[in-house]
Amino acid sequence: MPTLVSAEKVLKHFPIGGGILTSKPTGWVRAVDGVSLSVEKGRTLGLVGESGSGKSTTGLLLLGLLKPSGGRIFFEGEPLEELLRRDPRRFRRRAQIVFQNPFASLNPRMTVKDIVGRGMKLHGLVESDRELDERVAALLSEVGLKEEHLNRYPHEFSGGQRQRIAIARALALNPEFIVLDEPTSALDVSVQAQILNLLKGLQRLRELSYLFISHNLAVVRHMSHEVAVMYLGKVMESAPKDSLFSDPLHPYTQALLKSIPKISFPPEDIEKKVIEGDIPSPVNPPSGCPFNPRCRRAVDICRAEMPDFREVMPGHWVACHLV
Amino acid sequence: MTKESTKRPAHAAWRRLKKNKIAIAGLFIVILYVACAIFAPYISPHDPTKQSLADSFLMPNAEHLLGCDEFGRDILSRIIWGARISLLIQVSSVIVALLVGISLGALGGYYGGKLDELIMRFMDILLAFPGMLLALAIVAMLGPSVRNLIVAIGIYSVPQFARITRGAVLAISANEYVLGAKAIGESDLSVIVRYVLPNALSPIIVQTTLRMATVLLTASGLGFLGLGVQPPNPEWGTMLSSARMYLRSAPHVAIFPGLAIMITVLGFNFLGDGLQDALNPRLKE
Repeated sequence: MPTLVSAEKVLKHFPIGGGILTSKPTGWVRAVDGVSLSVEKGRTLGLVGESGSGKSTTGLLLLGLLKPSGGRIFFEGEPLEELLRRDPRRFRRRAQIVFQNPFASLNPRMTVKDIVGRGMKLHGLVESDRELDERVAALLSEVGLKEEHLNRYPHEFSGGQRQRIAIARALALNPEFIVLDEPTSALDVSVQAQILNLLKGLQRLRELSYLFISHNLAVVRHMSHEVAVMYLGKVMESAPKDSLFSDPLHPYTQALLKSIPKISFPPEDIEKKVIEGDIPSPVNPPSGCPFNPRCRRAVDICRAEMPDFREVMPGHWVACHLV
Repeated sequence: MTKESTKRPAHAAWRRLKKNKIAIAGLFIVILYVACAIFAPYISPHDPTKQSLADSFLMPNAEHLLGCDEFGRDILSRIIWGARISLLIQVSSVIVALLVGISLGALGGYYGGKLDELIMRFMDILLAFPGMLLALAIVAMLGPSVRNLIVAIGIYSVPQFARITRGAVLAISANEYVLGAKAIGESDLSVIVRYVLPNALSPIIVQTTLRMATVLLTASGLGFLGLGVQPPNPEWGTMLSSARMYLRSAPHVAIFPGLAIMITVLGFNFLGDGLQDALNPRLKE
C-alpha cells in the first residue's frame, strides 16, 4: 500500500506565558514530542491514547492547521510545508476533518446548505446556485440525510444527524484524507455504530484514508487497519491492528488493553487491572521513557533514557527498552 | 421535531422578551422616543425656537401642554425636537464606538498574543479616565459642536465594545466550527465575519442598548455644562442648564426636560436588561 500521509519526528511545543513585557515564555507544553506515523492510501490509522496525550494536536498538524515546531510531514511524498506555500487552497481540498463534538462543530447561524456548500462555493467548484443545491442534496443523501434538511439550522438536529452534517461538510471538497477526531465519542451508543458504519462505507466508496483518533479501543479495533498508541506526545507502539491487539509489546499498550471493562459473569475484578496514577504533565515530562512512573516493569534505564522507536517485527514498531 | 423549532433563535428570544413586562415598557418608551425624533416636524405643536416674550414662564395650559420657557418657547415642542438631536448624537456616537470597538476587540480576541495585549492595555488606559471627564477633555480640546460631541462620546464608548467583543470572540473562537472553517480554507477575515461575529452578536446588542442610555446621559451632561449642543438648539441637557436659574419661580421649565432624560434613559436600560435575559436565557437561571 502506498503511503498518503506521513510524519517524521514531528514536534509541537506551545509556549506558556510571555506577555507584552515578558517576551520570553516561562515554559513549554510538549503536546507532540517526536511523533512518527504514516497513513496508507485507502486505509485507516487508529490513533489511541488518554486525554492529553497529543492525539488531536497530531491530527491538526497533519492537516496543516497547526505549524509544527519541528520534524517533517509529507503528503504523497511532498513536504506539507511546500504544499501549503505553493497552493494552500488546493491542499485544503485534499485533507479535511470531522470533530468530536457535533454541537460545537457546526456554525449555529448557518443553514445546512451553507455549512455543507460553503467549501464548494469558496473553491469555485460549482457554477450556479442550482448546481450547489443539487450537489449539497446529493451529499446529504450520501450521509443519510434528506434534501428537505437543506434549509434548516443545526439546532434542529440530533447529535447523530449533526455528525452526518459534519461528515457531509468534510466530503464536500472531495478530499483524499480525513482526520476523524473522536467522531463518535459524544454520541449515544446506538448512534455510534451507525456513524462508524457510514464512515466505513464512505471509505470503501471514495477510497478515503482516515486518521481515526479515539480513546475507545473497541471502536478503534472496529475501524482501523493499523493502530498507533500515543502517550504524552510520543508514539509508544504502532502495528497492524491484529498484531497490536493480539500481541501488544509495550507495557503501556498491554495495560491499556487489560483496562477495557468486559461484560462478563461473574464480574471481573477491574480494579487490579487499571493503570495507576494520571498521565504526567507535558510541561514537565519525566526523564527517560514518559511511561516509567506508571510502569510496573520499569528499570533504571527507563528512568534515564528515552527508548528508540524501532521495528521489532515487520510493521510492528515499539519504543521500549524491555522489548 | 416541532414546527416551532424550525425558526431561527431570534424568534425564541422575541418570545422570551414579550413575556418580560418591564422590557416591553422599555421598548415602548424607546419606540415613542424614536418616533418623536423622526416625526418631530409633524407632531410638535409649535416652532421650538420661536420666541414670544409675552408667554415667558407660562404654566402648562391647553395651548402649551408643558408650558413655556424663559423666552416663551413651547417646552413640549422643544422636548420633541430635542429627541431628534439626542437620537442623532446617540446613534452616531454608538456607531463610531461599535465600528472601532468591534474591530479592535475582534482583532485582539481572534489573534491574541501581543496584538491583543497592546489593544487591551490601550483600552484599559481609556477606561482609567472617568468617562465624563474624558469626553469633557475631548470636547474642550476640539471645541463644542455636535460633531465633536459625537466624536468625544464615540471615543469614550470604544473600550466597552472592544472588551465585550473580545470576550465573546475568545469564547467563540474555541468552538470547533471555527477550526472547521479554516479547514475548508476560509480566510481569517471571512472566519471573523461569517463565523465569529454573528455568534458574538447578542452581548453586543445588549451593550449597544445599555450604552444608548449612558450616551444620552453624557450628552445631556455635557449640554448642561455648556460643552454640548449650543442654545438655541433644543437639547435636553442644554434646556435643563438654562432653566436652573429659574428653578424656584418656574420649576416646570426644568422639570419637563429632566423627566424626558430620566424616562428615556430608563427606557433604554429596561430594554437592555430585558434583551440580556432574552438573548442569554441561561444567565438568568
